[in-house]
Amino acid sequence: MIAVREKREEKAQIGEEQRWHETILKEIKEGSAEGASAAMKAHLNEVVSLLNQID
Amino acid sequence: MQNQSVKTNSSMRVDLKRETLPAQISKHLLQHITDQNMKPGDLLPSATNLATEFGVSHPVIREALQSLSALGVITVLKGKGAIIKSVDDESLRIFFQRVQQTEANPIVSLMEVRIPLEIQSATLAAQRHTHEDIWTLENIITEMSQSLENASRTIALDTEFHLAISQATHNRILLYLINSTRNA
Repeated sequence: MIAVREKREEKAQIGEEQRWHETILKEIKEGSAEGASAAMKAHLNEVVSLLNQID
Repeated sequence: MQNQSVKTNSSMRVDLKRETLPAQISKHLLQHITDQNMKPGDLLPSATNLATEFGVSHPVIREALQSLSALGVITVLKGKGAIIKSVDDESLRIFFQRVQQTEANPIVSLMEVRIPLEIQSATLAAQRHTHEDIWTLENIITEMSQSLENASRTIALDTEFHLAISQATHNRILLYLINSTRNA
């Protein structure tokens, strides 16, 4: 996923991946299946969106 | 061995051979492994016994065992025989790697497969995680926060994080699927 990382660097969003992970982990720790799945879905959709911005 | 004729649209006749003996025997052996509930480390009967049981020659048995070995089902060790291997995701990984070559946009196509798997993974991890799973995930995030400027390390930790979630589902099939799509 080097391309995604480069896109994040370009957008000055290097810590974004980690923030998503923290959100997902928080939901998992709380035992919220709904919250964890929603956070994972949002995270991966954001990755796809970045991939689609790459030429 | 009997042949079968198939008529195609272009009216050409193509001769198709029926399944070879080694292919039939490897299928029987796969069924035998399932029926006998054989576990990793268990030994298949010796080549001599298999040849007698199936009424075929040693080379036929050897070819059947080689095909099972290529599938990752067994390991043939000299002097020991054919041993059942642990299940791993190597053949799945090769499959995903190869199938990507047929896709116009392989990374996005693979993501479209990964997304529902990873959503299910997060759902099950929330329901089934252990203290140890949480400890592993927290450690990955801590290390990630200390490696933000190191692109290759961050990418590796990202993969580790997603695989640790799939470990926390305690569903090995899901783990193998996610691992093989991530490493393809």
